[in-house]
Amino acid sequence: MPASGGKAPWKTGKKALKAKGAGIDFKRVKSKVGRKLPPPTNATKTDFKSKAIVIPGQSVAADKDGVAVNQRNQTLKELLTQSMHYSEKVRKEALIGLKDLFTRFPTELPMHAMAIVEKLSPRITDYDKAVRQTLLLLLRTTILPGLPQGMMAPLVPGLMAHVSSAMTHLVMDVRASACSFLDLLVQHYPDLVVSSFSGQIVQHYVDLLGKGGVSGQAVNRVGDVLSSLVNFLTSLKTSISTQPLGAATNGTRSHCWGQKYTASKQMGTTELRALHGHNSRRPNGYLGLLGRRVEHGFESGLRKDGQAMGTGAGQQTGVASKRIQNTGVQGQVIVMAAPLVPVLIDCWADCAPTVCAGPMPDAVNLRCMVSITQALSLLFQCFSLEGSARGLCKSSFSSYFVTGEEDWEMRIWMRQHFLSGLQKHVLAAFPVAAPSIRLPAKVEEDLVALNVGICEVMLYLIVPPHKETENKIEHYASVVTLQYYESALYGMMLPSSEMAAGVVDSKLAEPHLKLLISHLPVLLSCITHDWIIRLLQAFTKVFESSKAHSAIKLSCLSAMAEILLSQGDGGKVDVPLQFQKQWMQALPRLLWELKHTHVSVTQAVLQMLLHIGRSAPEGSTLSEEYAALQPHMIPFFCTFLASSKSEGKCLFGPFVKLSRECQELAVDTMCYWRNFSSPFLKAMAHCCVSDEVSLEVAIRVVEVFQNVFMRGSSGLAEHLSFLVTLLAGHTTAQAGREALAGVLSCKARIKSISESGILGETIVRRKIALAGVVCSSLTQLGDCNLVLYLLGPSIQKELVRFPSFDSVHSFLCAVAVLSTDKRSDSSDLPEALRTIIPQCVAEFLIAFFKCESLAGGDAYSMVLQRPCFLLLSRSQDFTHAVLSTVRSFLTEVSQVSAGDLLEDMCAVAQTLLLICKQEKLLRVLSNSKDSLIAILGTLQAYAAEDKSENLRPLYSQLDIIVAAI
Amino acid sequence: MEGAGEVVVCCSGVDAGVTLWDLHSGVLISHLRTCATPRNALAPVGSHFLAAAQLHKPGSAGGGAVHFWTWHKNQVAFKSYPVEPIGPLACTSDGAYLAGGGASGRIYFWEVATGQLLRLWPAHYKNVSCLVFSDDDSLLISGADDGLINVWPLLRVLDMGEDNQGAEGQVAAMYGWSDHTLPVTGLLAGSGGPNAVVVSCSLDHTCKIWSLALGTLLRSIVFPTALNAVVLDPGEYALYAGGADGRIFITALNFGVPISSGILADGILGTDAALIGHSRAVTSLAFSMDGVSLVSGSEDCTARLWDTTSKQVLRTFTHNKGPINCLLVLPRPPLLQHGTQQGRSLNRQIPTIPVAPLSKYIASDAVSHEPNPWEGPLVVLPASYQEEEDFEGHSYSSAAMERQIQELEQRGSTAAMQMELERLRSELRRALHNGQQWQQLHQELYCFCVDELMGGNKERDEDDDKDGERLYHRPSIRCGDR
Repeated sequence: MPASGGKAPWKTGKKALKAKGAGIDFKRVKSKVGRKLPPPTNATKTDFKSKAIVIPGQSVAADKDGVAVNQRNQTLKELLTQSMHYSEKVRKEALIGLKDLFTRFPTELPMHAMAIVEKLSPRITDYDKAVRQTLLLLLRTTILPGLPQGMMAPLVPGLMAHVSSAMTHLVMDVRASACSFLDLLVQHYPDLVVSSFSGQIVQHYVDLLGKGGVSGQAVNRVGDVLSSLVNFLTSLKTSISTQPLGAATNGTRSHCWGQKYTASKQMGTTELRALHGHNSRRPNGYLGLLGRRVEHGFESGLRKDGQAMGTGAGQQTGVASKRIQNTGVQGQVIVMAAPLVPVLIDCWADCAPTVCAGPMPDAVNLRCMVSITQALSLLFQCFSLEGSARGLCKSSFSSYFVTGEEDWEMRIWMRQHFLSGLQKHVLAAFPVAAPSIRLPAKVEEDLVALNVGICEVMLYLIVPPHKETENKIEHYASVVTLQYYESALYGMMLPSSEMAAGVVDSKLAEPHLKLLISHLPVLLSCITHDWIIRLLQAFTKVFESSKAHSAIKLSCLSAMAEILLSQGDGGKVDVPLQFQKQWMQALPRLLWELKHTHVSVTQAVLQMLLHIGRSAPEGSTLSEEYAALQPHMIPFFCTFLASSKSEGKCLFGPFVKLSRECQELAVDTMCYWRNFSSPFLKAMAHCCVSDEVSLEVAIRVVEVFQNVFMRGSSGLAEHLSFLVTLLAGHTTAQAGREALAGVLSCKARIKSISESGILGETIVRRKIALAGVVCSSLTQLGDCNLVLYLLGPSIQKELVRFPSFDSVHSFLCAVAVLSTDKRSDSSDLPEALRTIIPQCVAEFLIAFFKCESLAGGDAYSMVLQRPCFLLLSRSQDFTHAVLSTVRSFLTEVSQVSAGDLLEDMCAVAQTLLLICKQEKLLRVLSNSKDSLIAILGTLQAYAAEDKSENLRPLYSQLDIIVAAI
Repeated sequence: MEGAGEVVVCCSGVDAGVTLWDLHSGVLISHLRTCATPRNALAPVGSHFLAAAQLHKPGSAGGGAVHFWTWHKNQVAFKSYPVEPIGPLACTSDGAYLAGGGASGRIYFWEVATGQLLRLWPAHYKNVSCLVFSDDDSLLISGADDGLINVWPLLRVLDMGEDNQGAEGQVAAMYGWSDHTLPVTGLLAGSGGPNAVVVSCSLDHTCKIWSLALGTLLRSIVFPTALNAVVLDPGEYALYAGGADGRIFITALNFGVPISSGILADGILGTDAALIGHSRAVTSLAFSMDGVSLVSGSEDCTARLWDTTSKQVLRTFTHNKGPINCLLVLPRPPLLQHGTQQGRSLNRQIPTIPVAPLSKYIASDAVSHEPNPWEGPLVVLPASYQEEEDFEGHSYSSAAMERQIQELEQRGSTAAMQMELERLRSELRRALHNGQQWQQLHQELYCFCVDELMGGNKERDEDDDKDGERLYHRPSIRCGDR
């Protein structure tokens, strides 16, 4: 009931009361003031208003089948409408409802992305804190992860407009929370946000942090703003550093020849694309917007330049505008980000007194200061990247960045503009010492971070001595920084006062140390010689004291690689030889210590060895040092135990267990050695013949050695002995084989050959492949006859002493290939081999047939027999010698008359049958028909006795063929 | 020119000279004497000369020289002795500059016409193994035993004043690619000038494809064996890599849309394949301009002509002395046309590009050395060629493109635009003028009509009778014209 309606009866009541009071005596009505009289019972209310209640459909009761709803049965449309409700609670509920909806129906999100983002983005400037918090949560957990960058490209500008408006909002709270929204966007869509809006954002940050910003009104929010600034700058830096090399990660695909595409398809459908020399990536963001902004920046630069307002500003924009001309879009970074530096320094000045002066540092302000140092160092990094943007492209090692002239120019510019400000405030208390009380762990940690942060910032401002101006204060800054750097490398990150020790926990110091070490290569190129020595000493100590598989070792390694490579490149850093020596000598040991478990570090070490090896100029001390590493590398491959008891025992190094890539890398490093010592070759040969190393790697080893030899570096004797060892299939150190003593009978030898043939097919296959590679290497050496002549004695020795199936085959292979070379004229075998080879051919063939497991597959046995036929077809004398060996074997067998007599006879018959069937051999066989007939005679005698019906059919076949010859 | 075809030029590492065969008939054309080269060390200089670096054997005299032949004479035309043995040689397509890579990793850069050593710079840490120019002759690409590939813009090579270090200063490489872990053995620049792809192969079993425009690695292909040579077909559909085991591997380069049964490739090359025939390592490969014939040279002393569509050997050229180290397929040189007589007559017709023996050292002071520094080397202008169609026969696509661009530029140049604008303006002026005339006429006619209707004084009427008639008639005539 409306208020006016209630008033009227009360008034009338009073009038009536008055009228009654005049007429009737002592009729006194008691009425309390303020109490409403009950309306008269018969009064008719005429003052009502009617309103229609419009219910489009009962929210609970409406039929919503097939429509995505949340737990409360609300649709997306309803929720979005409610998110603009005037009541904060409803808005908040709606946002929570949306979250529920999207978790239930994830497809709704990409379908209605436009509408959702459009409706929700005004909530960024919501007055209610709880709503903003909920929105932040909603965006972080559900919406942004669900919308990929490509989809958001058209939506981000709208969102950013709201974020910008929030960052400049009148209400303090909104402004502060806008930073967290920005954080979220930068985190999810770095390319979109940073490329197009960074100028705007930086301006907002300047306003936020500057006078009249957050720092004036809400001191406790400064920390949040600063940390979001750090996040933003981080992504700005990455975008700058990746822009010139953007395509590098884009198109590189590896493809294995002969690999089936169906297999690669599973890994990703876009495995192989057309090869374009161009970057076919679509541009990110809106180029129109970008272009306009650049133009604007350029103009403002020019304008200021024209005004020439003070030397500082004039120079600043002068350099900056030059950058724009040079580097196009990115040049704007300097123009827009430079105002941040003084603002940050002002911020620092506000925080510093509570931290540095008092006995107990204020934790909140300390945190702020750490953020400021991070932001400053990121800013300087951005500037430096800008400066070297042009130099980066032409540097010859794109992965290692070489400091160009542009970079120095940039540094000098930064020094001119920022050093005085930094000197006054930041450097005033540097290095911050720990107070003489026991600090909470967190504060101590922050103090260390602060010191390291300041140091890092200052490192960006150090320029080479010859570019330094003759200013004492500036000089002081460099010296302080370097002194701190040195002591930090020694582990004194927090300078001690009387009580506390300066040394901090190594676990805590590790990330800082890593950071500092990454600056070393550039730092070394811009300091004087005595400082170089001091720092390198500290660095070497860090390198040597760090654990083999720690992250510090890895960063040390990368720093070392950078230093050494830049040295080879242009001689910029003059590293004293003693340090280089120390570093390189540590590497083989490191490889061994790493075992096979730390693949990444091992790979880094091997990469570095490879780089050193190939970049060391011939005859330089570096290459000598590299060559001196060879004996130390042996344990990495394998070690021979020298004790007399277990002679021939050996231990494989980590090499055999490494991944294929690492093994190949390790093999490749050998390519750059000039010659090989025999212990090293022995170790390598042992690795190659053992089954633990895969065939591909073994072949690669042979190829690399061959390449080194063909270059004329290594000696012939070593190379030949290596190859022969591979053919023999064992090193002398290998256990489990004893030499056959003295001259043995044919039978015993055949027995030993056929026994070793039952090794299994895969192993024999491996030996065949390896023998093939070795043989092709042998043919490349030059005159084949000469090579055969050189190899003759050792082959003979091997064949006499260690006849085994694979070694006999390998040697026959080698002899066959070498003696049938087209280029050579004479066809005689060398003296040493003249008797042993025919004998071996006969023995091998007989053994082959005795060994049932091998007589199977056709193609396989053909490969095994081919060298024998090649040799047989050479001359009649050779064939004759082979047949006479067969005869002597027969006589020997028949004399003993053991149990397996018939088996031997069968093998002989099969061998002869095989030989006689070859059409190519008909010519050479015709001359030695006599010996064939003699063998047949012997066989006939036994064939008659044969009861198992094995020999007889063979004999009859043989008889027919021999008669035909 | 149709009948002239292409020739196969090959030579070996033993002193067996250079042999020339006709590619399609297999006929032995010529044999140039005294030549033993390392790999990649054969380069045609212009259309009249052939240059080959000689294998350096320690102790032997004359090793490491660079020999020049003219095509129609068997004897060495002249020999040059650089400071150190030269390995790979490369010459620009017009024969103006010759680049050679030394064993110490330095690259030598000569001007062919004067023989002057223009530049000499340390390019690699180890022996340079291959050199190649991009097809528009703007970039020099070098590969070496240290596994690096560097790209040098000729602009920087020829600009001595860049670092104020003179002719022996360091040249800044445009790109340095260090992804190969073992010596690079073969290099090839595709067509497309600075936008081309560069293909390199190495002993580390991989072929890598690089983009000159971006300076990045586009693809890496792993093969089962070490590789010695690599070639693309002229359409760049497929890559052929010669392996150390005598196989030639084929892999398709351009992949179209991935379909359910693998990836649909351009043309016929759906899957990887290999050409098997050589018994020893393949050392060099060359493609004929017909797009299907591949010629391979091998250590087994033969060169084979393959038909790549059917993967068959069409012909085997036997080089009887030694393993083939270098092999080229060239358009038949004009000096070796059919019949010696014709060759002689042509010889008289076509002026040869001057070639001078290569100098050993950089001229210490260029200004004092030459009395007139503005006098450059002798240059044969292309207009002096009599038979233009000779050079149409094997023009490259980029040349055609350039011509088209030029035409376009001419048509769309600012001068033409200016003229067009001028013409349009004058037309506008004329039209405006016409309009004014018409307006004036209309005014007069109107006045006349009003006078007539008002019936002014008779005198005037009589006086102007003639004029009025004339005025009255004029518009009608005009209208009739239109």
